Amino acid sequence: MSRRPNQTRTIVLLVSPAFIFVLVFFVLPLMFLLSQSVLPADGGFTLTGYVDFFQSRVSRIVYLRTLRLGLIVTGICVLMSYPAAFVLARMPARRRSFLMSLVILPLMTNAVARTFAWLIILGRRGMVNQTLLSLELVENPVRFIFTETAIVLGLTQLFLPLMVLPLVSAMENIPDDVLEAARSLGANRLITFARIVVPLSSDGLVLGATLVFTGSVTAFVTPAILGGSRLLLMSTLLRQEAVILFDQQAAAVVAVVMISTTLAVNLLLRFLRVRQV
Amino acid sequence: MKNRPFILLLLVVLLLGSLAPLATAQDTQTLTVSIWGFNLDILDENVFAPFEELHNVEIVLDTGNNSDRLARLQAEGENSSIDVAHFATQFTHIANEAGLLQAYDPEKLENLHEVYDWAQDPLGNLAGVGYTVNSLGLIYRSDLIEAEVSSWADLLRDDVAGFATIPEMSTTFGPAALIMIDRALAMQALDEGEELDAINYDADMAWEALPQLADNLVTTYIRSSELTTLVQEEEVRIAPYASFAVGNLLNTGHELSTVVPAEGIVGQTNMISITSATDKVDLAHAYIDWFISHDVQEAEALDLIDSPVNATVELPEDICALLTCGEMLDTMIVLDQAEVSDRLEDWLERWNEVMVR
Amino acid sequence: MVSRWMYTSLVILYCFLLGPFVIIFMASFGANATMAFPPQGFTLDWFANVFETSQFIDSFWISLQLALLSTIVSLIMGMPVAYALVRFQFTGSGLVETVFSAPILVPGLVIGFAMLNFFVLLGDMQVMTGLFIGHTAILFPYSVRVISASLRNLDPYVEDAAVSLGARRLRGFLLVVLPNMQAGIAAAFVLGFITSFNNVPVSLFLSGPGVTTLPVSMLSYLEYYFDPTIAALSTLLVAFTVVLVQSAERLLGLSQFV
Repeated sequence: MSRRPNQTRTIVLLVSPAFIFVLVFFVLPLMFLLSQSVLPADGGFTLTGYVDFFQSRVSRIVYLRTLRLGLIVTGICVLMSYPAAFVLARMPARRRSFLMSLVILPLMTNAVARTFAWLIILGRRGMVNQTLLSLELVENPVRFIFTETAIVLGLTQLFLPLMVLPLVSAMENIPDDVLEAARSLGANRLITFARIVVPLSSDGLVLGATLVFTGSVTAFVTPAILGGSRLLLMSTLLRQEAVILFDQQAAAVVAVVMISTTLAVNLLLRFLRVRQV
Repeated sequence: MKNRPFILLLLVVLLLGSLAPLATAQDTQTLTVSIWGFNLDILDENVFAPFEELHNVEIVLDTGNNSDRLARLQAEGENSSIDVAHFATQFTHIANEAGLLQAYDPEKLENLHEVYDWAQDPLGNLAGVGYTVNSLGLIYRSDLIEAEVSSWADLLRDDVAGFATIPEMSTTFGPAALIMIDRALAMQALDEGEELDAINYDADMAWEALPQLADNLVTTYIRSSELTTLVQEEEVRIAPYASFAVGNLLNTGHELSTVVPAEGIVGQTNMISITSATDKVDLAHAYIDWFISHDVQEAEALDLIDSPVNATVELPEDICALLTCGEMLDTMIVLDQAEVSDRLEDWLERWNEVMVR
Repeated sequence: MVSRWMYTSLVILYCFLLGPFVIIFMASFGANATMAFPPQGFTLDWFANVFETSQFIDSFWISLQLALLSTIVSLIMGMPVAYALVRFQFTGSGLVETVFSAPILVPGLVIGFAMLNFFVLLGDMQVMTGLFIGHTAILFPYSVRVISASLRNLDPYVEDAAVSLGARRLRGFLLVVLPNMQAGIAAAFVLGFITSFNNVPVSLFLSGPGVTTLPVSMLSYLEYYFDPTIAALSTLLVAFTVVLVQSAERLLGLSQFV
C-alpha cells in the first residue's frame, strides 16, 4: 500500500472519535476506581484496603473459592468439549453450521432466564432429585440449590460455548491427511488423538480455557441466583460491599483484585500461546 | 444479495425502536418515588394513578430493595432526582443520619391526626411518616415438625437441623430476628417467676449461639421470595417471616402454620420520607398525605398489600387476620432503631465471620 | 477416526447446553402458582401475566431503545477504527487494538461500578445517558473485531482500483467497501444488539429512577415473586433469540464471529 503524506491525518481522524470515547468513559472511570482503592475519603494514600482484604478471613475464603470454582468449571468444559468438538469439526459444513448455531444459543440468551432453569432442575422436587429417588440412589432428596455444585453447573452451561467454538475452529484446520497418515502408520485412535489432535488444537484449547476461566470468576447472575446469600463469590462480594455495606473503598479493592486476576490469567495464557506458535 | 430480507427486518426493528420514545415524551411535572418493586400494578391502581390525576403530575418510580435504593441515593446525594423515598424504619434512620432526608412539616399533612401515634413519627425526629406496619413472626411446616413451635429459640432445636433459615443481617428484619432469639434464650435462662422486660440490644446470648444456629440453617435469605422458594421446594420447614409475604408463602400449597412466639412478634413500620435533594416539597407532602388518607389505606389493606396505620380504617375480620392489625398491634415489640443502627456495622462483620464458610 | 463414544459425548454436550431451555419451556405452561417439576396442568396465564406486568413492558422498550442506540453508535464509531487497523500499518496500532479490546477483559460488574462512581463525580447525568455510555463502551470490542474480520476477507485491491481510477478514498469506501461488508456489519449488529439487550452487570449499577432494563427488572422481579411468569417471559425471549440467531447464522455465519 502506498504511503500518502496525509495518511497520519486520516488515521487520526478515523480512530480518534471512538478512542476518545473509550478513554474518557472507560479508561478514566477505571483509573478513578483504582485511585478510590488507595485514597481514602479523608485524604492521603493508603494500602490498608488491600491489607484488610487479604487479612480478612471472609474475603480470603471468597477469593479462593472463586478461583477454585473457576478451575473446576474450566476443567469440566475441557472434558466435555474436546471429543464433541472433534466430531463437530469433522462434520459436513451444512450440518456443522446448524449445530454450531445451537452451541451459541446459551451465550445469546438472557442470563436470568437461563439460570432460572437450574432452580427448577436442581430443586428438592426437581428433575435431578426425582431421578435419583426413583433409581433409589438416595433415600431423601439432596439439596443442590445454594451449593457450589449448582453454581458450577450453571457456569458450565453458560461458558461451554466459549470452549467449543475455539476448539472447533482449531480442529477444522487439521488436515484429514495427517490423521489418515497416523492411522496408516499403525497408531490407534487414542494415540492419534493424544499425539496429533491435542497438540494441533492446543491453541484453541488455551484460548477457550482463558475465556471460560475469566468468565467464570467474574460472572454475577449465576452465583447471585444459585449461590444464595451465604455462598459468596468475588462478584457477589463486590456488590455486597458496594450496596449493602456502603464501603466504597472495600468495593474498589475487590474490583481491582478481580481485574488483576483476569488480566494476569489472560497475559499468562497469551504468553503460552505465543510460545507454542 | 441473499441478505436483503434480513436487512429489511433490521430496518423495521430500527424504525419501531426509534418511534417508541415519541410515545413517552411528555412535559408534565414529575414526582420521583423510590419504592420496592413489589405489587407495583396494584399500587398504581390504588395510589399512583389517582394521585397523578389529582395533581396533574407524572410519577416516576425508582424500584429496588432497601439497600440498593439507599446506596443509589447515597451515591447521588444532592444530585439525586428522587423526591420521596419509601424505606423500612432502619433504612430511614441510616438515610437520615447521612443527611439525605429533610424533616416533614406536620402542619402540611391534613390526615396525620388520623394515624396511630406510634406511626406519625416513628424515629422521633420528623424524618418520615410511617404508612404501613409489618411484623416478623414464625412460620413452620405443621405436617413435618411434630413438636409444638412456640418460641424463637425453637430455631435452634435439633429436630429442625438442616431445615431452618433466618433473614440475612443486612435486611430489614435481620437484627430483629437475632434480638428475638436472644430474648428467647434469656427467658429460658430465667428462674421460675422471674420476668424479663428490657430488650437486650447487644444480643450476647444469640451471638454466642449463632455458630450453633448456623449449623441448623440451610441458608440465610435476603428476599421474601427466596424464603417462598425455599418453602416451596421443601428445603425449609421453619423460618421467621415478614407479614407482607404471608400470601405468597400460603400459596405454596404446603401445610404451614404461623405462630406468635411466647416472646412476641416484632413490629416495624415502613416510612415515607422527603429527600433533601428535592425542590418539590409541597408535592412531596401531598404525596405522603395521600398515602396515609383513609381511602388509600383502606384500598391497600383490602388488596392485602399494606396493613393500615390510619385508625379510621375498619377492616373485616378475615382481612385483618392476614395483615398486621387488631390485637397484634397492642402486643408487638417495636425496636429502637437508633440502638440497632449503632451496632449494625459491627454486626455485619461479625455476621460474615460466622456465616461465610 | 470419529468413534461412537465421541458421538455420545456430542449428545451429552447438547443435552447439557439445551436441556435447561426445554425445562423452562415446559415450566411456563404449568398451572401451579409456584414452580415445581414436572409441572401439572396447562395454562397460558403466565404469558398473559407477562404482558400485564408493566415493569416488564416498560423495561422491554428501554432495553430495545438502549440496545439499538448503543449498537448503532458503537458501529458507526467502531467501523473507522476497524478500517484503520486493517488498511493501514501505523505506530500505536497495537495500543489502539489493546484499548478497544479492553472492555471485554474487564468484568462487567467492575465496569458498571466504576462508571457509576465516575458519573456521580461528573454530577447531574440522565440515567439513560449513563446506560447508553456504558453499553456503547462494552460493545466496541465486538464491533471493531467483527468489522475487522469482515474487512480482512475483502480484497484491498478492489478498493485501491477504485481509488486509482480517481475516486476519493471516502467515495471508494462508501461505494465499494461498504456494500461488500453488509454481512459483516449485520453480524456485528446482531451480536452487539444481543450483548446489550442481555447485559446485567453494567445495567445493574447504572439503572435508575424510571429507567430499568429488562434483564435487571427480571432479576428484581425474582426478588419478590417466584412464579412461572419469569419462565414464560424467558420462553418468549429464548424464542426471539432463536429466530434472530438462526437467521443470522444461516445468512451471515454468526458463530464464526463470536
